[in-house]
Amino acid sequence: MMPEAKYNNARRICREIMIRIINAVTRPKDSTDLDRIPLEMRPLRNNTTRCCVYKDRAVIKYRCMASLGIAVEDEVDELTTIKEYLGQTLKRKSNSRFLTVLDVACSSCPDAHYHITDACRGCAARPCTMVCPKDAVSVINGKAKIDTDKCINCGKCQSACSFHAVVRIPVPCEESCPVGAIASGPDGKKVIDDEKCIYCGKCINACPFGAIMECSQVVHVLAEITKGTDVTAMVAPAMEGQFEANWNQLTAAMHVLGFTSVVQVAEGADETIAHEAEELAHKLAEGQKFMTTSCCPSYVQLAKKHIPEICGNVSDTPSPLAFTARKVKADNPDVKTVFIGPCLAKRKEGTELEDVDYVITFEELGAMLVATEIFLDEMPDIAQVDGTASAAARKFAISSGVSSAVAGSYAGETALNPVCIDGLDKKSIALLKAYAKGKAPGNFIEVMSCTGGCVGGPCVLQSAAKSRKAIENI
Amino acid sequence: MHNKKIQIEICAGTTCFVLGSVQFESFEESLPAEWKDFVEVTASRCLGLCRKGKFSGAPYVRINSVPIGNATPEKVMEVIAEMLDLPEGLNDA
Repeated sequence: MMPEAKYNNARRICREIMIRIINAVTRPKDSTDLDRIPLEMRPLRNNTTRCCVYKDRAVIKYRCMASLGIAVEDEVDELTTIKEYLGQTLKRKSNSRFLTVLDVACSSCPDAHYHITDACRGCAARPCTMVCPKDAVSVINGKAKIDTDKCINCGKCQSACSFHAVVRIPVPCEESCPVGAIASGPDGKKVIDDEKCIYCGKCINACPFGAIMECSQVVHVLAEITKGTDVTAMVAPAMEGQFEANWNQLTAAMHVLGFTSVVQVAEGADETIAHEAEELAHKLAEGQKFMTTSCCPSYVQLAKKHIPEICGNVSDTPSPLAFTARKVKADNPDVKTVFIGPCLAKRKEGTELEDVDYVITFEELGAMLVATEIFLDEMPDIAQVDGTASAAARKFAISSGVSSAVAGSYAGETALNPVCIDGLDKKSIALLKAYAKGKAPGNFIEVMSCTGGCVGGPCVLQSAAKSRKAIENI
Repeated sequence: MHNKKIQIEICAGTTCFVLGSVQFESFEESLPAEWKDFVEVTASRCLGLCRKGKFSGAPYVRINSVPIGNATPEKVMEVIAEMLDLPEGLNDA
C-alpha cells in the first residue's frame, strides 16, 4: 500500500539538506559552511545508512548538488565543491534537467524478476517445476531454483507455490513510471530519457534509495530576494490544508521570507473555468466528440510525447498559473514570479511560460520556513489577501474539482458528460489512447497525473487525505 | 492508585511538521487497546525544542516532559512500553 503522505527517511534527509543549504546561503556567517554539510550530517563513528560514512557523505554531496539545481549528470570534476556549484547555478538561467539520478545512490536494481526464497521447503509436489512453461525451475539440494536465462517472468511458479516462497522483485522506479522513461543504462544505473519523461515525479517517491531528485530553484529565488528584487509568490490551490495555518498566516510568513506579494493561483483558475467552459461549449457545438482539461502539465506532456492523436482534443485554455502570472506581470513587469506548488511538471510549464520565472515546491517552502525559524502559529491572523477566488476555483487541487467547476459554468447546448482520469498509470494511459480513437465514455475528460489530484502531488508535505478534506470544507 | 496517565505530546509546530511529524497522523489509533487507559496523546503547539538551530532533531515528542528527538512512532512506542512495564514509570508522571 502506498503511504498516505510522501514521507520516508530519504525524503527527510533531502528536506534537512535543503534547510541547511538555505541557512548557509542566507546566513553564511552563522551557519555551517556549505562544503561541511555532508560531514555535519554524517560525522565519523556514527550510524550510517549505507556501507560507510564516506559513501553516505558522497550521496549527501550529490543531494546538495541537486538541491542547488545542478543535475548530477552534469558533473565534470568530482572535486568541484558545493560552494563552486552554488556559484555555477546562480549564473544559469535555467536548469539543464528537471529530474536527476544520483548514480552513487542508485542501487542498480536488476530488471524485475522472480526469485525463490528460503521459504521453499523442497516439497514433494513441486508444482513450480511443473507449471513453468520454459523448464526454468529445478530443485537443487532440496530447494527450488530459477534459471534466469530460461525464465520469461510469467509468474506461474509464484501462483503455484503453497508456501508463498516465490517473490517478484520489482524495480520500483521503473514500475512507478507510467511512460517507460526510466531504464538501466550500460552500467546498470538508471537513466531518465527526457524524450519520454512527463515530469510526473512518481519515481522520486518510488525509489527506496532516494536516488532520484528534482533540480531545485530555491537558491535562485533566495538570490532574487537578497538582491532586493520584487518577488511575487503565486501559490497553488493545493496549499489549502498543507500547513496548520490559514491564508493570512501563510501570507504573513511569506512576507517575512522576503516575498513582496502573495497571490493565489486560484484567482487564475477562475479565468480558466470561464474560458474552458466557453471553449467546451463551442467545440462540442462544432461536433468535436470530446475535450480534455489542460491544467495538469504532466498530462499535457503526456499528450505531446505519447498520445499525439489526442492533442487536438486537449483544451487550448491557458492554465490557472498562466493566467495568474500574466496578470502579475501586466501589473508590474519588473517583478519576478515564483510559483509555489506540489508539482514537478509545473517547473517544465514554468520554463515554457514567459511570465513565470521560478517554480518551487511546498517541501521547499517548508524548508525555507524552518531555516528562517518562522513558526506559522505565531504569525498574525490579520486579513491580508482579498480572497477573490471562487470556491470552485479553490477546488482545482482535488480530482473532479476541475471538471465540476467547468461543468458549473458550462452553458452549451450539448448535454455534458464529464469523466475523470484520477492518476496516470499504464492502464489509464491505455484508456486515453482508446478515447483518442473514438471510444471516449464522456465528452469532457478531466485528467490528473497524480492520484487524488494536485493534493497527491510528488512534493507535498501533508497527506492527500487530510488536504483533500481541508479543500472539500471550503 | 496510579491514575496519572503517561502524557505524550506530539509537536505540531512548523519545523516538526516539515521534518516528519506526519508519521504520527494516526498514532493514537495505532496504540494497543490495553494501553489506552494509561496513555494520553495530544498534538501540541510548537514545543520550542527546534529553536536556535536545533531543527535537525525534529520531529520532537515529549513524554511526561522528557523530550525525544528524531521521534518515530516506533521509538515512542518503545518508551511507552518500558514505562508501562515498570509500575514506577506511572509514578513519575
